[in-house]
Amino acid sequence: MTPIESLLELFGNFTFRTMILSTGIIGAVSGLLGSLLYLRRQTMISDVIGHSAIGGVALGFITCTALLGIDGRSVLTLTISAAITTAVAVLLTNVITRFSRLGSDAAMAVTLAVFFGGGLVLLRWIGHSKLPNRAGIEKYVFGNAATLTGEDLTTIAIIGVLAVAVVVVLFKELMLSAFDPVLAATMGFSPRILQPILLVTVTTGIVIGIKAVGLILMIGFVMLPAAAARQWARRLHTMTLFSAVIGGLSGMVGSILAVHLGRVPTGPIIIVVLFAAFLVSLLASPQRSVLSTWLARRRHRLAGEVAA
Amino acid sequence: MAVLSIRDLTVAYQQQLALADACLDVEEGRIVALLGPNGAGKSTLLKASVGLLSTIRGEVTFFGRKLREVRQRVGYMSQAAEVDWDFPTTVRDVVMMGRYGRRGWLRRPGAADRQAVAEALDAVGISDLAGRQISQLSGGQKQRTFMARILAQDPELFLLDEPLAGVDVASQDAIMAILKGLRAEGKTIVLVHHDLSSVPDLADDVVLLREGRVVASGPVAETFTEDTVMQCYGFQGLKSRAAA
Repeated sequence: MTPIESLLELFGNFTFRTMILSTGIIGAVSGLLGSLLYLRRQTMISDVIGHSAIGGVALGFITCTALLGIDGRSVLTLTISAAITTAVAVLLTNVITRFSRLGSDAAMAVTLAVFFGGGLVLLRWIGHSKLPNRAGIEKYVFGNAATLTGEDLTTIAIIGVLAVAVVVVLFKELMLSAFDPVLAATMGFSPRILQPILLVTVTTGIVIGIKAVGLILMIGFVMLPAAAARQWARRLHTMTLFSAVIGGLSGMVGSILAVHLGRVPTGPIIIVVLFAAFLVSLLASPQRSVLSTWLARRRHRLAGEVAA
Repeated sequence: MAVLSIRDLTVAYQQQLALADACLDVEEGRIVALLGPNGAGKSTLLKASVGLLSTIRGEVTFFGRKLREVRQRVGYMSQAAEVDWDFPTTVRDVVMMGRYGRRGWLRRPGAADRQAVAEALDAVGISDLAGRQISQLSGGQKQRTFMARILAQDPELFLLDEPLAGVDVASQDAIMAILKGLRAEGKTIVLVHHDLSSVPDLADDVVLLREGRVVASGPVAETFTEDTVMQCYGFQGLKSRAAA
């Protein structure tokens, strides 16, 4: 069987198709949002989002199964509860940074630790409880794309499209406030309007990935495509596009590899693929890579020798 | 009516007063230089007047109105060092940002904006750099890019924080010529300035600040004297002025 045929067969299988499409969308959306965070030097905030999402997952599960009596493991319920919890965590980080003398790195460490620790305690409690459907909830730490349902894919696709739409519609404003927040403010593009929109978009856009690729690896999904894309792009438009493409392709390739290798978690495999893309970009991109710098130095040196 | 009117403006960073009861009136069509040693409150005065810093008390009006009513008529240019020059963007894109305020929320720049950008690039003499990555610019080219951006913004009042910092002689001459050209068009300019020797050539009025207080302000001929400079800078300022 040729590789193409085996790919087509993979796509014919519902579970694999769901998996590949989901990770592709998740990769593309986090790559897109990642490029904005990268340029604001805020990629670490995605680590806060990823880690504190575990508290949201646990709280959401308890609320849904114990109080509302619905399945607490769908991407929709997880996304809503995780988005709320992570938004609170990010706001808390901002509040700590603003009203104390702690730097933003320390503030992020504080909230990340509190929400992650609290989430682990709740997960352990769920594991020992008698709540229905509790099996597998602890797997969210690393994620498992094979457990995604068709409904999950729909949720991921809809939220993904919404996140992309926000970025496209507000691109001018987001670009200006990323490059020169002072000019943005004096022109009347108030951070009081932009910040909450960005916060909601980023938290929701990132937490849709947790069931498929896990909580603690989300920072890699946000940071690696952006860092790779930065090497190739000359303008923010292209960087954002490259970042989304690199993220989306890596998500799909990683999923296919995970299926072929069998019994390996999807998230970590995708991270390896993303890292490979990052490494190639770092070494070989035309303008700012290790290779191009070396070649330019060599050219200057040779020119110097000829002149001498 | 004053183009810019500042009354009792007071700003504090942490425990320290950065600006204490500053008062200032700027008339139309003048170039006003804000002078004073580091930490005197020059940049703070500009930033606080356009609402970038929270103030303790004081009132600022532009053309007799609140800033938010006349945003398009006021342009503020921060120090070039305050942005990330490794950002993936080109000179043309940065200058285009000057047009964003006129377009407002959600609307994209159009042909008229591209025309304004081309004219602004031409006015500061960097049309040939339009497609260049901003990470590859020299200090003078960065300042010219910022100047082109505020020209594209086309305000009536220009508030410039050190537009001549870190530039070579050619760029300094080019930027000073642009400022004088703007004044000839009836525009008003308030700038933070460090080079005392060029004050009489460039400015009409000076405002001397020291430790957050306005120690003297008025026309150059009357106010920019050895006494006031001495009072503002201490001995060092006097020496550098004598050398000039």
